[in-house]
Amino acid sequence: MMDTERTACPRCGDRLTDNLLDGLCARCLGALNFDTLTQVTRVEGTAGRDHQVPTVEELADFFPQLEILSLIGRGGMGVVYKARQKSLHRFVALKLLAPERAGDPSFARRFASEARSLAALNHPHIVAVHDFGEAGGYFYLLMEFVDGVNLRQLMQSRRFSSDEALGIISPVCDALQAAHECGIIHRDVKPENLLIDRNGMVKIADFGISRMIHDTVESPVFGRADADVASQTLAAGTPDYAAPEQGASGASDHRVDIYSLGVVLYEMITGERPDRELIIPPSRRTSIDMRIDDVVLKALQKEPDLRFRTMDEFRRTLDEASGTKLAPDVLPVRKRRATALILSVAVMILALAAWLFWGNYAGSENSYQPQITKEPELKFQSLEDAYQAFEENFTELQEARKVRVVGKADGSAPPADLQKKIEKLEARDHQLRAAIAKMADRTGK
Amino acid sequence: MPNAFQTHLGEFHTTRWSIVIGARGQSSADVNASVDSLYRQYLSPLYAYVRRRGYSSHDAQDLTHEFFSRMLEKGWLTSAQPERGRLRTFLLVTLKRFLANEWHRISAEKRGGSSRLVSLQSEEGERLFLADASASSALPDELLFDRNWAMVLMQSTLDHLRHEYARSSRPNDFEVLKSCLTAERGSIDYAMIARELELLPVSARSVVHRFRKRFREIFREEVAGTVAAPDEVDAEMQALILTLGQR
Repeated sequence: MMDTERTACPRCGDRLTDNLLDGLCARCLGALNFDTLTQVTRVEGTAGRDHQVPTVEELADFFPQLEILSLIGRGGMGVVYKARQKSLHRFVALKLLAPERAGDPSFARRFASEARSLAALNHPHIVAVHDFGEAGGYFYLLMEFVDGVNLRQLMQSRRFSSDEALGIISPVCDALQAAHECGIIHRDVKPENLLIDRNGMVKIADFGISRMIHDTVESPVFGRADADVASQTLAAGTPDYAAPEQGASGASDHRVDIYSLGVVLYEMITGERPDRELIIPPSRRTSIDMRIDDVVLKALQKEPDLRFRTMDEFRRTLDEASGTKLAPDVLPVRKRRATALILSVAVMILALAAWLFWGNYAGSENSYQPQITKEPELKFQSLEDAYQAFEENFTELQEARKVRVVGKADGSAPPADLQKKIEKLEARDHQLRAAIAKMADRTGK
Repeated sequence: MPNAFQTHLGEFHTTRWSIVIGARGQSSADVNASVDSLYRQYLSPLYAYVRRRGYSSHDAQDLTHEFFSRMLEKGWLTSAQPERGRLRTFLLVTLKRFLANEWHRISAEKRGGSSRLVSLQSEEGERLFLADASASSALPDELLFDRNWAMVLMQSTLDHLRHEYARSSRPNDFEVLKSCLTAERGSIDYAMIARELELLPVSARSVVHRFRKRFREIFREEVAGTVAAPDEVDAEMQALILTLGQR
């Protein structure tokens, strides 16, 4: 660094022997750091969205246990890459966040406890967290890779009937309910965070991260978080989806998620987000059952006490309004219905995938690139049989996926050929869906 | 420069001049503590000024020590009016008056042995004095005082920043990033910084940016601790930066 033999500052020519502060030229210290006396918050290269992201090659040095494959998304929260874990041969999503917090020990502690509570969640409809840490100046999360699209992308191509909306919102409610029961609030529920994989499985992403990143609590070591980062969104949540009480620094509880999901539901049905001041009931904007209005409007109440108390309540009320009964004797029918809903979503994905594949898509937040392959056809005696086979296969597939992530229930190690097994089940899954879709078409459903 | 600004608790303590001058409501213990940290922080420029007036190093030590005691005893700080403005000007004006008076001669007999604390800071003051002496002697003593004052604040800022990084999870960052403070924006070698600090290349820019920003913030806080009101901070900062540029 500084040559102590030098007697004159290379930059300004001042004599250095009289003028040194910690080895630095005092004159230059003054001249170079205070050219504007207002606090400088921007510097070239770090302004807002222009922020560069690490390349795939650069990341390799910092994550030797991963094979970094591609950049798959970038948003206000962080950057996401698709990678493969070398040891387990599975795809994972690597999310880099909070570069402005690198080196902040109190943030590191909060991040660790947040990541651990997320990892403990373990719900089929919540993106699983495998690992976390700090590397190369970023905090990172290693998560389940979801091979599909997000709800924003789906919404861009269509509006949803109440049945279709239910197929997506219902599992989200289940997942959020489970999280709330563990004391975890999402705080940033929005279409970009609702991922749907090729099988129509909905998975919620970015749990709890929002609050942690945008927490403007002053760190004793590093001062206030960079104003630029915090200004991208509110104290937590994206403005359009954030509950009114989220803007204030006051307490907000799990009911903020209910509000946000209400906005999502509204948007799915009507194609637009509700005006915050005067909410036009969905039934007046589109042809939908008026009973849905009540559900949506209740979720969107400004006052948390007037909303649903829990996600469960939200889901049950929504179920009823859509005409789905939960009586035990019709349970198989409901299950059939749920399957049909999943299938219909999967069909949407296929259609969307084709559209994406043909290059109509310009990179958007959290966009995933689905890969669809063609499978040979299966034959069944009846639609009934086909459904049966599908359900059996699907259950087995889910179980296998779960084992891959959390291990076997009895604690023993997963079998070595688990991945192969999953791939086989997935292939069969595709075939069954195709067969059912075809048969359903013919019989007029 | 020795680390002159830690209180006995080991924490950094930015003297709030505005607190001191509004100290009528404060306990005398609090006021004394403030004066004490004022003493530790600003003794060296005051000492250097006294030396420039022609006193020997031994006498200069005693005089500055006496000056602070007198300030405490007579309550010069606590009776200061808000219009006193900046600590820097107040101290210099008060010191000049003190030196012009008989008082220091009267107390010559009462002078005891210098405390260890005095000699520690006066080493630093002596260094400033010698630097002033080798600099252009055309500069008025008052301006040299101002410049030394600015140096003290800058050094304090660097020490504070070093301390923050030492407590972070990236303590090695400080020594590497320090050199960025005197590098032209376009000439910073981000690739080298990324390598040295084990950062992803794109992180290097924001790490440097944050370092410089924090440096500015801390300096601003230090300056704010020496003015009576928030709206004076900018002007004081500007004045001090200018003095650093004087040859």
